[in-house]
Amino acid sequence: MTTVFFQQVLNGVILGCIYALIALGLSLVFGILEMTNFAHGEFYMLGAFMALFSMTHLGVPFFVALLIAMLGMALVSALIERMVFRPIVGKPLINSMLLSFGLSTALANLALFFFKADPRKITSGLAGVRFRFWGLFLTGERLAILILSIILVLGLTWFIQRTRMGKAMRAVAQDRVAAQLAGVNVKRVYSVTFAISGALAAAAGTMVGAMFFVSPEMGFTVVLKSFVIVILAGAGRIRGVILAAVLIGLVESLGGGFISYAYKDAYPFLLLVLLFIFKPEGLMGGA
Amino acid sequence: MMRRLIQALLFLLVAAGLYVLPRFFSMDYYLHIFVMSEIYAVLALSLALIVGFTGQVSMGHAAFYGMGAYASALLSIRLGCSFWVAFWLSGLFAGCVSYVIGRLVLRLRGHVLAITTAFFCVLVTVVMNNWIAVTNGPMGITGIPRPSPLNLGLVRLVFESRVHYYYLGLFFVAGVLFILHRLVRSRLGDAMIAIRENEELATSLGIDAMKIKLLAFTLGGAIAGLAGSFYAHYILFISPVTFSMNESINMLVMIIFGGMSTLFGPILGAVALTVLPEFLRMAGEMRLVIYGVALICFIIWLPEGLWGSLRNVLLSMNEAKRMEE
Amino acid sequence: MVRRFLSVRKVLFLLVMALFVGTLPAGAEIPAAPIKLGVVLPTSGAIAYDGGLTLNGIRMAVEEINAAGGVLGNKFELYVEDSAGVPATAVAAMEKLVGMEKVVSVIGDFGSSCTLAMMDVAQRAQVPLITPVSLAPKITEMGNIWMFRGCDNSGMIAKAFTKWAVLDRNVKKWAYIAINTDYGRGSVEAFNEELKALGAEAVFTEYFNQGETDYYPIVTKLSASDADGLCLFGETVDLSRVVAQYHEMGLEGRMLIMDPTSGTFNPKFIELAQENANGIVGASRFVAAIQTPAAQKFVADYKALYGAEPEKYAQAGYDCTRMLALAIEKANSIETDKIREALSGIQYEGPQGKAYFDEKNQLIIDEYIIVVEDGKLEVVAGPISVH
Repeated sequence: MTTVFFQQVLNGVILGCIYALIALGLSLVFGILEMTNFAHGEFYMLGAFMALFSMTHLGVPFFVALLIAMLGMALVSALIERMVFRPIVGKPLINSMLLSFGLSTALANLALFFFKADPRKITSGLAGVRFRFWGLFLTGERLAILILSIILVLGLTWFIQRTRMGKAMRAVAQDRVAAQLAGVNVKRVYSVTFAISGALAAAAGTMVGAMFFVSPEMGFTVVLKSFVIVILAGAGRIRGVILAAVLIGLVESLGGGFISYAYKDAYPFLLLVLLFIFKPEGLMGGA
Repeated sequence: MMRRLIQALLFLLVAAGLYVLPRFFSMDYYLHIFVMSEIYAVLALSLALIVGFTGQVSMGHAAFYGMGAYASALLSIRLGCSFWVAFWLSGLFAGCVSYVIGRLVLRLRGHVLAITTAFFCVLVTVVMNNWIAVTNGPMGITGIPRPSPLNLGLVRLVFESRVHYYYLGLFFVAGVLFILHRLVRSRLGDAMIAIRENEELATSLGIDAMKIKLLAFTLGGAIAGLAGSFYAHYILFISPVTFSMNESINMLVMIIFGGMSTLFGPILGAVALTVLPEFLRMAGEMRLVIYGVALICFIIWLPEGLWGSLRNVLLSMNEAKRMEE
Repeated sequence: MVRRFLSVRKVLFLLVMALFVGTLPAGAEIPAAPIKLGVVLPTSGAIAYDGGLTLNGIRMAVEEINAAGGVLGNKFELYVEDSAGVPATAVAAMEKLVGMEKVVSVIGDFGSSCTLAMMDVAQRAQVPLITPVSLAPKITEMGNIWMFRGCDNSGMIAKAFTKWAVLDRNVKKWAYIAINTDYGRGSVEAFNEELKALGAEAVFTEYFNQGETDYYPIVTKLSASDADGLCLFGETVDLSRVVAQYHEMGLEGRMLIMDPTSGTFNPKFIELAQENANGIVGASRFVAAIQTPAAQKFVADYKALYGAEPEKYAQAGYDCTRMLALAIEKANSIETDKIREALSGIQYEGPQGKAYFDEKNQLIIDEYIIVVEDGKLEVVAGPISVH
């Protein structure tokens, strides 16, 4: 029984790593542009397709495809920000919500039209690698996710803490007008924010595509959960997002394994309710 | 005086038009679309009260719609309630739940409120899907009875054909429209708009923001519950798929399409978005792409919605005319 | 290439017909209007892929019937409407078909929720409605004489499969992983009933939602159970993930994997699951590996038309259309009540075998026991009669 418990914990942590990669990008956009981007799930889906096609059409190895997908999605999301989101910066919240929902519907169905509904698998070459220790199971793909998310999170932290652009992003997140007055190019900050967010989503999408499948509808279910993580984490903190993501991963894994898998989608809501009752300022709030 | 007369005439004209509509479109197919338009009109109106007038973005409206439908279906099947009793009880039930939920979530603002209500909707769908003993899960509830015949003196509605549902639906929309019209023209309505525009300012002016928000949320939820009851006794079969989060988003799209800070806009949006997909049936695979792109264009170029923008144009023309005089 | 050849033939046929009509004496009887056949299926939304397979079967049958001169001397004309898997939309589609197009019968829908919502329209408009896929038992239990189920139901499958699995393969402790829909829940219910009678039992039951990706919580929990058979109910994609993650958790060989409703017995699943598909056993009313001449002719024709092997969804669409054609022929009329009567007394023989409707308008059809070997579907036993 203890083996089963620790296996569920391990599953939950890996799941949390995927959620963290997706939610980090969402949290950046949320914190800096004050927008809810429902199309973030589609960025994740498109990233996965980019990796898939680089492998099948260009014949590049898996980790090169991962890089291509991240760069490609960085470009695409910066472009989408420029064309679709920029016109409504500062408009009421419902506008950005429904706008991104329209974008999500359009992108998902375009993908359905061009790539067809049947799911495909990215062959990473890691699937056959399996580790067994203390009675626990871990596949090469899952280990790769763990390592990749640690690298990306460290990289992002360095970028935001140490670079000029990172400082500008922090300034805009705190007070847009003041940052503008201090000479920060706010428009560039917006583009870079979306680019980073798209790249992180593409990384998550590619890894999930290798672990499970790539399909046009893979984005929608994941985006709501990521929003819960963003809310749980409170105002745009990397540490908070990771904590919240792992928490959601654990709750799903343990709740699904020991209580009921069918009720799994309800657990994040209960977590939210608990948070509002006991710690209304967010998980990391006040710390 | 003249203005009132014109308004009254216009009203009579519209009423007469709606009354004779089934004479010209008597096929059950058209009537089905009309009845669904009526149901969505009520849902859109009730959501506009929360989102458009009070400014609280809720993505969980389908949950109250669904709870009304399930409550009504279960009351009439398990307890043998007539539709006319179950209808009001299900509205009451949905209203009570939305009061409790409102108490919990209306402290939240903006995005956080939207996502939390979205998750409430997910929660309700999960319960509908898994609480087999009560909801029969994904198998849904069959055998919901039609409303018993209703004698209104002049007309007798027996609900064997869709025409009768159409007329009952007209009363339903008119009733909701009347109540909301009175409400938004009252001081409560002013308070709602004040909260939408600036909640801190409204509070400093002595408005109890929580109370007003709670009122809008509860009333909106209750009306959605009534619409759910109407739906259940019309389609005669309900299952959780009908009340998913997508349906909430569908309602939000309706009010933004028509214009959400008016009362006519949501009705326009509801009718348009119920009728248009029927025309778009031939567009096939590209239908949803068109829908998504149209939504993006609307929000960028017509953020006030169809009716809201039209009204603005009319108002500014009026203004210009007055200036000339 | 085949298509082009066909169309050349068609053109020739039309030319000859035109000449023939032209030489008719004035005042001769002009052929009556085509017979309108309605179809309601999800051609958009989450199950569009599977809905399309059924539609393939329907189109193929109509093409064959029309090429052979049609029914009662008239051609079939198809009116296809999309339900998108949404009950209210399915009702609108049904209303449009019976009200506006005045079709003589309707084939549809895929999901039980939609079919259950459409039944009332069929009864009111008095038009036969025949579902090629929906499994919910209630559909044929509600006494609606206009409603037909043109495929087997979970009860029939359970009867055929449990006997084989428990008695021949000695699976006594069953674990279920099933989709959380009427299909999954209904199937588990039907199987448990049969298991009890055979002295076996269910020791593990978990439901998942459609489109779920991570099944680790379930398979981890499963690793602690003592089941000797794992029974799956679901669609292709979801089940391929379950099977892959079952192997990742090191459970291979612990249980017999069973897929009695054949959600996995199609080329897509085998492509996705690869070697993990081998050894899965199940039941199906139809697979392309059935070796009878009728089945092989159907498989060859379907492959020529669509470039892929047919599976049970295409077969059901094909059979439903053929059965309707036969019923119209027998009724010698296109009046809906006569078609309904003829359909309920039909004796049909399709690619799969003999079939007829029982007193509840439930199709009685044989089952086969199937196994996956080296990425190929093989028939182990059958046909098994279930009545």
